Amino acid sequence: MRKLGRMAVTGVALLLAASGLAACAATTSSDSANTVRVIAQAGGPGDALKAAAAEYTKAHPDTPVQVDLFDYDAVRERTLLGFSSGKDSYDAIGFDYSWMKQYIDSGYLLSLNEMAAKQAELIDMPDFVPAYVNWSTVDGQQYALPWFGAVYMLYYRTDLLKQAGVAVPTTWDEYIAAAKTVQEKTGVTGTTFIGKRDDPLLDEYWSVAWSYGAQIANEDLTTSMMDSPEALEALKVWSQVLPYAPKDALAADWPAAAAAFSAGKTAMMINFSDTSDALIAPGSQVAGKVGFAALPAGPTGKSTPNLGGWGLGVSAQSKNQQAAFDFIAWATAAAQQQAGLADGGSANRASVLGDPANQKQFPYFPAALENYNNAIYFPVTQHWVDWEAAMAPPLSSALSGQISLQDGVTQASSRLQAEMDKGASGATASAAESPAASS
Amino acid sequence: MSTTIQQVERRRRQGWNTERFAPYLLLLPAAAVVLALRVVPMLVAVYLSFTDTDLSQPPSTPVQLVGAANYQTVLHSTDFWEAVYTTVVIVVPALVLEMGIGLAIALWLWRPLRGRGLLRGITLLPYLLVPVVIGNFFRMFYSADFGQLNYYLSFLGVPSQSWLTDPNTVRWAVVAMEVWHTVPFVALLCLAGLSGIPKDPIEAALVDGANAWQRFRYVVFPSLLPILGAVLALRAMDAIQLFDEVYVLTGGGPGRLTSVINLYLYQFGFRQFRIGETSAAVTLMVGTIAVACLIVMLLVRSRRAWREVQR
Repeated sequence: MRKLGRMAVTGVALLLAASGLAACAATTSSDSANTVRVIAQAGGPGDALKAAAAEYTKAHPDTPVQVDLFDYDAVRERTLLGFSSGKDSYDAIGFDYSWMKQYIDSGYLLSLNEMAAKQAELIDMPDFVPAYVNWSTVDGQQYALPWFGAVYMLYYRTDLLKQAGVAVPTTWDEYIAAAKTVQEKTGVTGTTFIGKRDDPLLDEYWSVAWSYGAQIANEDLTTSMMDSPEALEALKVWSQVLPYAPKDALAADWPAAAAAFSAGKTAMMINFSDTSDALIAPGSQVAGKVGFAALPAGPTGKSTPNLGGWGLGVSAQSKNQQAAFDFIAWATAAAQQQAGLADGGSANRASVLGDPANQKQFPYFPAALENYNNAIYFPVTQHWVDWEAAMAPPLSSALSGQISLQDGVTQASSRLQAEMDKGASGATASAAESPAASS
Repeated sequence: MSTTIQQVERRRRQGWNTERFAPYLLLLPAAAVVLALRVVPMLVAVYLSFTDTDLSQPPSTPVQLVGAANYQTVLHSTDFWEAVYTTVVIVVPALVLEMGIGLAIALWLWRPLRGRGLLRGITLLPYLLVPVVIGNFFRMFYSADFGQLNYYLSFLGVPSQSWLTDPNTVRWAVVAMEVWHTVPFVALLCLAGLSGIPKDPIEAALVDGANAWQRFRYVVFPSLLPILGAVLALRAMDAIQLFDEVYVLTGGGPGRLTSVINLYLYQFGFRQFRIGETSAAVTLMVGTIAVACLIVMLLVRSRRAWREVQR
């Protein structure tokens, strides 16, 4: 028993020593102080950013760049938890623009005005799609360089529309009629419908609703404008698409819709532009048979595609702010955006989207550019995630028939108003200071 | 130089003695892990539930004690009660079906069958799969347009159904997925319980002319009851934590029809970062489960005591 006791003491001592050594090892293996660390979303543009970082590191060995890629939600979780714990180690931060206001109000992002002015030629902001230029600037301060772009657009099967004798729809009424006719004449489901609760549903609904004149909020973002005849009419029209969409439409997100269209199961699709590359790839079942167009317009005469996309900013807590900015300025410059297309990058500059050689290689570029120029983004508020969670469930319930469409709009509006009231009395109370929503 | 027992005992009491501390030292690593990963986070969560912690706010924002305000918010939240209701209407039928089917499979495997070991292995397979994989598998399985379920039902003349978007079927779709996943666990534990039942009473019942149902009803089932109780408690605690599969399968929709309590907590805690309110909801949930377990334990004890008195 005494032997056992000694063994136990020795074992515990060894364990403690081992954990101490491990801690030392972890400390000593940390990156060099000059390393610029970047957090961004995984995917094609993320791969392109990683490739760019490797190239940049070769050219600038004194300021190596390390890019860490994570899934969509994980990027926000890591960024927020890193900042709130005061132990954030990222110098450059990739973010969905809908998170940007929260980061700004919390003091996480550095204003780029001064540094951007010094490299204005390289950055060439006017070359970016105007919506991204506007989105990147809050209260006169620029906080982001547009990284990758995505905008809603209309995809259609040229062969099926021709077979059905249907023209490319330019209004929502024509869109529903086209979906009906193609379905009846070809037997292929008319179109997709991205109705999964939360952001997938809201992105497509508002792409329709804005063109009917509906609005999410008033200019100072204190009053919900959702409970309006325009919002209801848009929901009615949008719900009329359901009979010509896959039966699981209310559970479909962007990849599900893209999968259905690329497998030849639907004749049309409304989706973000970043699904286009897979459709034109040589292995695609629909390669050579896909057309791209502006999103249909509503009674206002406007086409109002929802704008998505990410920006790259510099951490206000970074000790390598200039180096981080130098990298993101280089990585988002026109030359690098052009080079990144081969690695899975996406275009959001007029010079890249409008280049004839690029348009030949990426036939969706002209339509993407047109949609970018019509694009509308969600209100810039630090409470967007809360607003989203408030609006989506009643709309989803209405579309699935649990409540009426009128109740769906009314409940979404009252829940949104409750969130706005909470936000107005919140600690930062910055909703009133944010610029008017583009909607 | 002989040493008396009293001397040894005195030395043991007075000085450093490795024998005396050995059990505690051996327990120390495990206890430290439990303390660090279970007890401390739980206590921190209780503390946070009384604060206005919101990780989306700047780090400079002072955290304030808000008393029971978070509990009031949660208890007055329609979303919370809808999530509780949804959890109950999904978990209760799932538990009933799991216990019934699991016990039936265990009874079947209990019989002397050729290849019983192989059958046990195959039966266990679904439980070994990762929940996210199961969610994705069932999303394809239930697909209205190209899912296997509709494909097989079409041979019976059943028209294609939208299992995941029809309000009448979506909760049952979740229940079926949960049952498929966890029946092997129930079956395996029931089988272990059945293997421990002595053969003599069953053989005696057989000699007395009891049929299969009577042997099950009056001999096997009462002997298995403690095991069934334990399995039910384990499964109930696990089922309340349902998250991954539902997150992948439906994302909580359509509407809020499949927004189980953990999806509500995830939305609040990890998307909206309202840690104070989330901690209050978690504390309420853990507290309710603890009270329910306590009531069950007391009932079991009182029943045992009543039986002892009767004897």
